[in-house]
Amino acid sequence: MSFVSILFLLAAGAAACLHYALPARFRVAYLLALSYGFYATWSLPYLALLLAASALVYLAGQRIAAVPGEGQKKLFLGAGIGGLLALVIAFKLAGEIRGMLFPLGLSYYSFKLIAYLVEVYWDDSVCEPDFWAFMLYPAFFPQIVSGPIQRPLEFFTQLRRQAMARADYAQIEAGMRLILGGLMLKLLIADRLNAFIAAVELQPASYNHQIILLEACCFTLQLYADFAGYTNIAIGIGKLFGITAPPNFAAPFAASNIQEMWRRWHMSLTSWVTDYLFMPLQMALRGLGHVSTILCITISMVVIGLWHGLTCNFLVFGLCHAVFVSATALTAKLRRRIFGIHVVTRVIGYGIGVPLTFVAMTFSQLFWRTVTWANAMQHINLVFGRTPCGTLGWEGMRTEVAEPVMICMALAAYFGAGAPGLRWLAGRIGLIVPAWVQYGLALLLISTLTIEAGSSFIYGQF
Amino acid sequence: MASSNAASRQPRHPLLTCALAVLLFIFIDEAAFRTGWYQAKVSVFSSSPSTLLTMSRWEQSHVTPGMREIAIIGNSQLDEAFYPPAFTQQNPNFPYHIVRLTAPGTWPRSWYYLLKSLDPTRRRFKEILVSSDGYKVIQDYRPLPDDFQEAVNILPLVPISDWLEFIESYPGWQNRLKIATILLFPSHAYAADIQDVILHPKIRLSEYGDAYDKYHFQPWKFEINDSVNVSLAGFAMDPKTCKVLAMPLDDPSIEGGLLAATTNFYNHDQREENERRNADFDVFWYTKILQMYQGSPTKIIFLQVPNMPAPFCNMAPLPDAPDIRDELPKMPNLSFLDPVMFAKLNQPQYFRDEIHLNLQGQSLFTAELGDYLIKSLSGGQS
Repeated sequence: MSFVSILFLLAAGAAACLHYALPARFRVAYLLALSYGFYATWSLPYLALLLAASALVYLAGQRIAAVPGEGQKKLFLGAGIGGLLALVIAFKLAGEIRGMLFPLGLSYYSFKLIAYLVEVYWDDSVCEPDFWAFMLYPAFFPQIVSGPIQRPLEFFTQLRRQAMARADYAQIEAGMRLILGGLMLKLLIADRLNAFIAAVELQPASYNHQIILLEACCFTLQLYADFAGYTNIAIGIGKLFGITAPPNFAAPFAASNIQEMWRRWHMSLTSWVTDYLFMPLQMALRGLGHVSTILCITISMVVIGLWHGLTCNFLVFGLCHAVFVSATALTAKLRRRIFGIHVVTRVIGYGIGVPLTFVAMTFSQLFWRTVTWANAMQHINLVFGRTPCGTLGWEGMRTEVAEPVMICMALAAYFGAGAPGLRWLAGRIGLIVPAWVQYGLALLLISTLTIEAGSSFIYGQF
Repeated sequence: MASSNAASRQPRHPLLTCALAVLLFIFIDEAAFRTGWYQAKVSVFSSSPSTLLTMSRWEQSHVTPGMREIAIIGNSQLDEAFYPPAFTQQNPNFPYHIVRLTAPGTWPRSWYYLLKSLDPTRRRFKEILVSSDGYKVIQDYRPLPDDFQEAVNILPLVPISDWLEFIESYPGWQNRLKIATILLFPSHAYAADIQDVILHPKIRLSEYGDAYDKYHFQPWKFEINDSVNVSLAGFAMDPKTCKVLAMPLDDPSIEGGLLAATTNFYNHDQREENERRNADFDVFWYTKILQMYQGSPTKIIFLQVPNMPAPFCNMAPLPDAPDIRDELPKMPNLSFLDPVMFAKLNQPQYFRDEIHLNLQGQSLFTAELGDYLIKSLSGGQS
């Protein structure tokens, strides 16, 4: 069931109402039943997989916390992480080789479970004694499709608090705002950009170079609008049930270098990789200086790339970012020396850095978005003019697809840059127009401005 | 003081906020789209929904009392075949008012709801002439029965009491969910049209002005397609091999339609299945119309519109194709016009494309049907 279907949204609203009507002691079980019910609408056999993986990790966590020796702890930790990684790799390989359907959210819930095992290994007190509360952690339905990857301690603390407390109106209203904002990002911006991209991808060689370049940039913006839209809905739905997930985006298009961009893009994944991979690696290799930095960055970025899929294209995507991030890290001092001397030079540096970062991101997406190596090369050759482009321009596609593209690209870029001034404007409007009027009008916009052929969420495939 | 400020900043109960927002949305949705305001004032004449809505609103408020109205109901084929102004001009003393209820892209499902909204007492019309593409049902260009556009066309005319039945008439739960969504939130059905208005406000506003100046929203003043002067005269095909022998026109769109009609475009392999599907759909909705008029003094008369300028191999009915005359319930107020009546118009020179009559064909058809109306209403024929 899709997050943007009216049935899902109505069901989620009704479920939230029922949640607060229930006695506190039933709420965890209720949320667990809801989450498994949601998952079951997608696949029953893979629900069994989710149950089995969660239960085994629960047992492994209990053992890690209980056993006294470091060696035994490491044994259970290694077994748990190894098992989860093997599961992910097996399904990703099965998907690549035999075209097997990838279990919904496996990449996300396996990373959550790994985070839990590592946290328990580091600190026994993180170990969750309540079996049902633990089972809810990987399965929590607003987060299972595509994250955000919430940390265990943060989740369990909020779960206990919401189970005891009455409904927090401010949080619920914030959730409703996020859901509406997410729907608008997805349905009004991402889906329109997707229609343009799909039209070009039908016959890429027929379009002129300007359209090809625009389409490449458009994909980065679409990915942002699509994924940020999903994340807002997911966080918003979580808030309706008293659980606030971490944000995934913080104005990524305002980043002036690729390192900063990764601190603002898919943040729950990058912070996971930083905490559980990059930092331990760097600690282990700290005597090696710059080599250690480059090595740790490369391993981290390759893991991020391959987390999406075990393909050559995702590997190259990771390697591209390893080069970009390493170059950024190694030139940090030099850049500070050149651009940091005066406010004017800082502005110039920022002015150069922001578009360069976007271009670097867009270039790497040429690998990320394509399935096969040949497909990636075809795109790259067209973008860099190594293959002659066609002559078709805007006239090659339907007007309802072509005409809104520039507006939607500008809106995606604006929101992706943190929507400067929007908070102030919203505050002013909020003084005059009551919230319910704003929401009512937002619903009308969503109802009338969506396109017929909407697409599923891009990150839903991982 | 501080505490009272804090209290005033307390958010409204989210359920109340949510309920108010949904109510506001529903209010605007209903006021603009369910009442037909949008279709009549913004989307005027740009599409079948607006044509149907404008027509139905006009006819609801312009009833000629005493059963002195004849309804002509059908889609573009009948719309372009019968032209009431020409008939009225030729027969100024004809005592009945012809109510033209033809709109392009509509099917029996739409006609049922149109008649239901226009004739709540079932005593408004003396006769209702219902169009049929063919008594022997053919496999054709129809997107039945999951035609989403038909739901968009007819949406404001479906009363709440019929919502369930209307939803059920669409196959598959995904189609039904889609139909339920637009029944609940009609603005969603007109999303594409609204977006067109936003993207091309000048063109759409000038269209509105032109339409207003030209028609003053009187449906019988609707002009038929400008291309009706086109003739397929000279078109020839071998009825055995379906090979096109002569293609006289130099118009790619007309040529495309003709070639589609003579090739396997219409799923030759699933022909029987398509014929049965179309027949089931037609019979179901025609029966609903007949049941609605059971015991009514209104006569329901089916007519087979000329629909084939040449015997297209893939569209002509199979010998054992279902025949609606056999499948519809027998009723005293039901009759079928003899298809031979208009058979002579199934010639290329009377058509503008593979299914629609041109001006010459329209003139002949209008005269022929007009003769029938005059005779039948003076008691000469029934």
